Amino acid sequence: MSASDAAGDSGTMPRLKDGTLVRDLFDLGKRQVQLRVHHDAEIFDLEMERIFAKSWLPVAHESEIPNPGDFVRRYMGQDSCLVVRGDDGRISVLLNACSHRGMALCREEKGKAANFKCPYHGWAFSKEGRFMAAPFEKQMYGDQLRRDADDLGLVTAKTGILAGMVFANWDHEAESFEDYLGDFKWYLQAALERTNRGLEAVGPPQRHIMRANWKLLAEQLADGYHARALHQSAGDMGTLGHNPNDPASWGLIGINVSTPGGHTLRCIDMRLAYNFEGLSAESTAEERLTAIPPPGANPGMVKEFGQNLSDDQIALIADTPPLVMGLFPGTDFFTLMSVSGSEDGSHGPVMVARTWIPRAPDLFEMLTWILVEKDAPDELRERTKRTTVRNFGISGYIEQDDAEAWQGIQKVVQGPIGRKLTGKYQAQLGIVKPDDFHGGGDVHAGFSRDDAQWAWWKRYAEVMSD
Amino acid sequence: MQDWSGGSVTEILNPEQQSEAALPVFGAGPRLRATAPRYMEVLDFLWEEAAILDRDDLVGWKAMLDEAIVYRMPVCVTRKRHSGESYETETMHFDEDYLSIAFRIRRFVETQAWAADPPTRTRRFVTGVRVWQGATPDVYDVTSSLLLVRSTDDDYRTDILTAERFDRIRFSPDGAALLLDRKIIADQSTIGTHNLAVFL
Repeated sequence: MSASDAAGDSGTMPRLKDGTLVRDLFDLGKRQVQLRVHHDAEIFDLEMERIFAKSWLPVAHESEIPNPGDFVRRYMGQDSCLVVRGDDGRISVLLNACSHRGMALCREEKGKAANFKCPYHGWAFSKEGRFMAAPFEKQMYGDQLRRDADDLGLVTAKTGILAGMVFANWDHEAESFEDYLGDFKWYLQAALERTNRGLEAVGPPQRHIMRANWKLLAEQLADGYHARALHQSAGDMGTLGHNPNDPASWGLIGINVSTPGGHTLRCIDMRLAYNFEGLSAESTAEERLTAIPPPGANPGMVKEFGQNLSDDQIALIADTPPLVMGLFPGTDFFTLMSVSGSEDGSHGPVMVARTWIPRAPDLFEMLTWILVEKDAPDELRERTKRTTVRNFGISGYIEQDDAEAWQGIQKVVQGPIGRKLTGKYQAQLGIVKPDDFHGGGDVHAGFSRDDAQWAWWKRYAEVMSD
Repeated sequence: MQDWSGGSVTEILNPEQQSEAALPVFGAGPRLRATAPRYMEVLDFLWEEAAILDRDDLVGWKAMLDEAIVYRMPVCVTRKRHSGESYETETMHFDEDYLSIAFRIRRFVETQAWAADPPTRTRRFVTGVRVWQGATPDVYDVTSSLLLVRSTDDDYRTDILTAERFDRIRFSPDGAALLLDRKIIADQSTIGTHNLAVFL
């Protein structure tokens, strides 16, 4: 009996072929995870059904498909989908598979279509996925397809939008997008929906492969601790760790936030990381933001923040801006205020959205969108694009080194002895919420410990073993 | 025998003209035959460059770059044949100038850059080189096919990257050549390696 069959039996917890209950891969008391979760094909298959077929996943930025008929082809887990702008401007997310025999409808990654016609037999579907017509329909089917038309549409996902990113979920019974974001909506709005016109993607995402399990990236989002060792080179180059023995200069002092739903974010404490030279201690949040605008913005845009954000949200991005914002299981927004990447010493922001497509237990694909403010002047737009590419994504000199850790662990779990090891997350702060911090969720203020990362694993364990 | 050196045949030889709107049209000048001495010098430059990069001599490679270099690798996406749309997009995999390349090289050579330490081993095969007289007498427009095979650690598997490169190469009066511009168009829209801690 396969793991997925076991999962289907009512009252039966999922169990792997060797008899192990999936639940027992996690030691909730010691806060440890057996590393075989990164290796076993059975676990991978369970993840595809239990997580990727039922979760909110980012598929495109709406600026990639500005006009009716524009579409891109993407993946949600292993399933290929079309993200299509309809004539009314609304976006549909459709399974890229003909309802007739299952042929992939669309064979390009990006395009413009009045409708989607299957290459195999020619069945045609609207931009919203409705069955429209089939060749020789009368001779082949009589009026049967007309009667069944409502049931012959493409499989659709429900959709939600945040900061212009289109999210989709195949499971129409799943929680609403609002409920899914929960306490994190407040943070993400503050960091990403601050201006009147908002963000756009400069184009389609970078795509590349990683010979590692997808969770090694997903769970790392809340891990501040790796910065000093894995990114030592960024310290040597002067981007991080200006004082190697000061945790604040490695972004390790701040506020981590997690939710029971497995969302994680890390806020850095700007009051420690930056010198607000020339500003009095009584300066307002807006004055501080104008002096040092947040990632991707300029002082002119700061004036708009009050029209879109509450005072508390403005205080958040002035004092403790979210740096890395993870949504379970497959979304990351990463914004950095000021990093270099050139011997001319010039600095700029990093603005990315990322997702990962699991391909096999030991392989995933990574997608990296570069985001800019729609109203960014050319200079800021170009600087954001360049700094982002130089620091993050496939060639980014910071992220190059992350790939080594993900692939390095994957090599270890190929061995039966290695994969008996556990990942350990015992360093916990607990709930520490400063009086002047107004965000929701479980707040862990201080040294960046394992709290938020463990929250991710607790959610994963829950979804996989219930 | 057909004369490949004249300007009159360049129209049919240059389908890539449309994509270089901002710069003088790439490859618009007369094409140099493979027997021309300058063609051989370009070929020699590309082979020398490949050998230097294969030996991981990044400082040596930097010395082959013009300080005005523009080095880009656009993200590309699969399009329908008759869509009229370019395979290239505005997103970049690389978006570099001389000082950002120098930054990357200093990181690889002087700091604990895990992505390149131990170094990955690469082998570059450069073929199909075509050369045109460029916008000014000292500049040549050059296209080539690149096969880059990347080996990491003790992994028997290799990553293979193939690309067309659109180069501008500048010759100084004493005959020394420097790379002035490079656009890399990879054949994979999903790049089949874990990072681009290598130069193409």
